[in-house]
Amino acid sequence: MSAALRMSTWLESLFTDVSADLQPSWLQVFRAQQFEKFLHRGLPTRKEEWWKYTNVAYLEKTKFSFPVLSEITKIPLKKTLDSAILMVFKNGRFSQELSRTHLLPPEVILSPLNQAIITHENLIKPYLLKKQPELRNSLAYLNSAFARDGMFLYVPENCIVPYPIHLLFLNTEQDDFISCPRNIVIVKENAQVKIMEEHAAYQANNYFTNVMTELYVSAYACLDYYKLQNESSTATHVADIQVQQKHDSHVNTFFADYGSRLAREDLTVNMHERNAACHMNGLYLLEQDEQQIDNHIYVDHVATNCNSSMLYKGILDKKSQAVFNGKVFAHAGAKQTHAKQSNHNLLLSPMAEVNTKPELEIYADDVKCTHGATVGQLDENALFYLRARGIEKQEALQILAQAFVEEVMQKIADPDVKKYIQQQVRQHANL
Amino acid sequence: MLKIKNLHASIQDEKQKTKSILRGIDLHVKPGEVHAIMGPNGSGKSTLANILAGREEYQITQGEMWLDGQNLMDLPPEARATAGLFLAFQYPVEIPGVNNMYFLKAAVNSVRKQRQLPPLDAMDFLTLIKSKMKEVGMDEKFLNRAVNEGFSGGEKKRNEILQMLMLEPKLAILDETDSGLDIDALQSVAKGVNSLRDPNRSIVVVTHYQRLLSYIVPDVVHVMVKGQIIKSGGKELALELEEKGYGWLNENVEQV
Ligand SMILES: Nc1ncnc2c1ncn2[C@@H]1O[C@H](COP(=O)(O)OP(=O)(O)OP(=O)(O)O)[C@@H](O)[C@H]1O
Ligand SMILES: [Mg+2]
Repeated sequence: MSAALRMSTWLESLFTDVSADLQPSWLQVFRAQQFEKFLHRGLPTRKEEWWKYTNVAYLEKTKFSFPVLSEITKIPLKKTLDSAILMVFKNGRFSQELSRTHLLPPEVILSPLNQAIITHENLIKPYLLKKQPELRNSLAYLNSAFARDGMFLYVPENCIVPYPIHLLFLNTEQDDFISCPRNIVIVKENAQVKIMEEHAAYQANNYFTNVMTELYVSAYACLDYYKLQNESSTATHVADIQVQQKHDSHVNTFFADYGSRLAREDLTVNMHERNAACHMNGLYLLEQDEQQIDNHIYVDHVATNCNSSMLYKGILDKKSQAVFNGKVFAHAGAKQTHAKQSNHNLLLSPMAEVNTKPELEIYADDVKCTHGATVGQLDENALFYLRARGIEKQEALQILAQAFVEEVMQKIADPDVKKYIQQQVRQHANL
Repeated sequence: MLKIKNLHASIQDEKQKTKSILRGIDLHVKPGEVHAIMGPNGSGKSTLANILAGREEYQITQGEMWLDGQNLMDLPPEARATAGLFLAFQYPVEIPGVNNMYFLKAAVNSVRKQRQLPPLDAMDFLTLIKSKMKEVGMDEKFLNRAVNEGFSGGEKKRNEILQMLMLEPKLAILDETDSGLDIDALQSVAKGVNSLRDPNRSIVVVTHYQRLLSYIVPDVVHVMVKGQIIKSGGKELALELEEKGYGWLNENVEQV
């Protein structure tokens, strides 16, 4: 019996719940199809090449429910991003009272998805119903079936959103729940926007976030996407991020992952038109036994003169495990592709483990591709040098850990976002 | 100030074979004194300096080391530094990604904390460091570089002296700080060291050359060969070594 079938009883009952939502009939049909698809595929298994190192089989052991509404009336985090447009979701549901959107330019549509589905039905429908190839991550189908809320953002032509949009998914005060937020971002021609999607926890333990974010970037548009995964240390976080780039568009992504027992980021970038550029950066910090953080990236270079780069850095302590799998695929038509991949890891414990696999698959001529990966230990000489100057061991370790990630931190263009991430990194590099 | 009694130390090499490096070092440096340690390559001078600073890879099989009445054996490297011991490394380490100014400030403030002084604020720190940089002839642009990264040999040595001046140690050990320095640099390093000389401070200089010792005049000169101090004398001993080399001392070496 497949995993999905074993889970199917309680999944069916959750699906009955979703089906009862007020929704257009096409959406109901779409969800049912996606649900079938998931039941058919089941949970990803380690037999699939792309899931070789990620074992999610344990998910079937918990009977997850949908969260009940959270009562908290204040954001229980030390800080949120100042001077940002803030969209807060409590246990996956939009919270009007915690959100702050007055800085938003009036021509921009920013709305919780469950409202947008009604108010902007015709705008959203083609994106949700678009034809797409079979997804590598079967949990994305479950997201489509179960997604009840999330962010819908539409930035019209030539519009520049002056402040970052901070999307905060706060998981709180409950256990054993599943949350499937869906974010849809449409950036029209020559528009610019920065989004920071953060997943955080407060008094919540064994929950499961299965999020999907779609980013549609039109010609000459510019999108910065920051993803901060700071879930509870017993949670599971699976994310599927799909980027569609039109010609001459520019995307920067930054993934900062420190939370969760198991976190998996699947980033797919489609460059189907000429002159697009995508720069993907990230860091992961693992400080617990049995913690695992995986980054899987797939860049599809179809058109000419596109440019992609990846720089991911990770620090691992204790018996933790990280996976980096970056794949660049350059089709025959993708002439003058520039692609660069690098992944560097620092192991602080002999028990920590990294599987790193930058891959290139090239069918085009005239391409420039490089890749490199390293796994190393702390420089004992540097540590001694700092200590010999009176700096305590703990602080010296922190200084060296921060020095290690500094190169990738430099890639964060927005100064406020950078400060915000730096502050979180400092908390987590407290090794 | 510094008392070393019958210190024996060894290291395990890659083949897990034990190699003894220090074979019974006795050294007594009184407050205000300057001692020079000379000796052939590989005789154990840097090993001694590193062991004093708290390097953990060496095994101390016998002996004692005391700084100002404190047993160094009990202290981790950072506590030795805050207790007033400073080693200017023969090969200063490059630390990419760590800003030199940030590093110097962290070091100064940890030492101050230990001495129960308030941390220096950014302004005071900057004023102080700029004046010390002038003393050792370092351009201010080195503050914004990564610690020692891409520094020339001489620039690294000046950076060591700068750190020493900022930390104001009780006991400074200079391990071949003079090697690789041009004549101007040698003079400014010597000037920096001499500015620290005071009746409550001691200095140990490890060197191969008499030249440095004509700027920093030692009270005592020791000769170390194969992990032992085989001869000690006044500053004339350095001149004699310069003239005759180490060969004539061989009869003083205990056989291993
Ligand atoms: N970490 C180590 N691993 C292996 N051997 C070592 C180590 N440290 C020192 N040694 C050995 O111990 C001996 C003494 O080395 P040390 O660096 O103390 O000499 P030195 O007197 O400072 O020489 P020099 O004048 O060339 O600087 C050498 O044979 C050296 O190879
Ligand atoms: Mg030496």
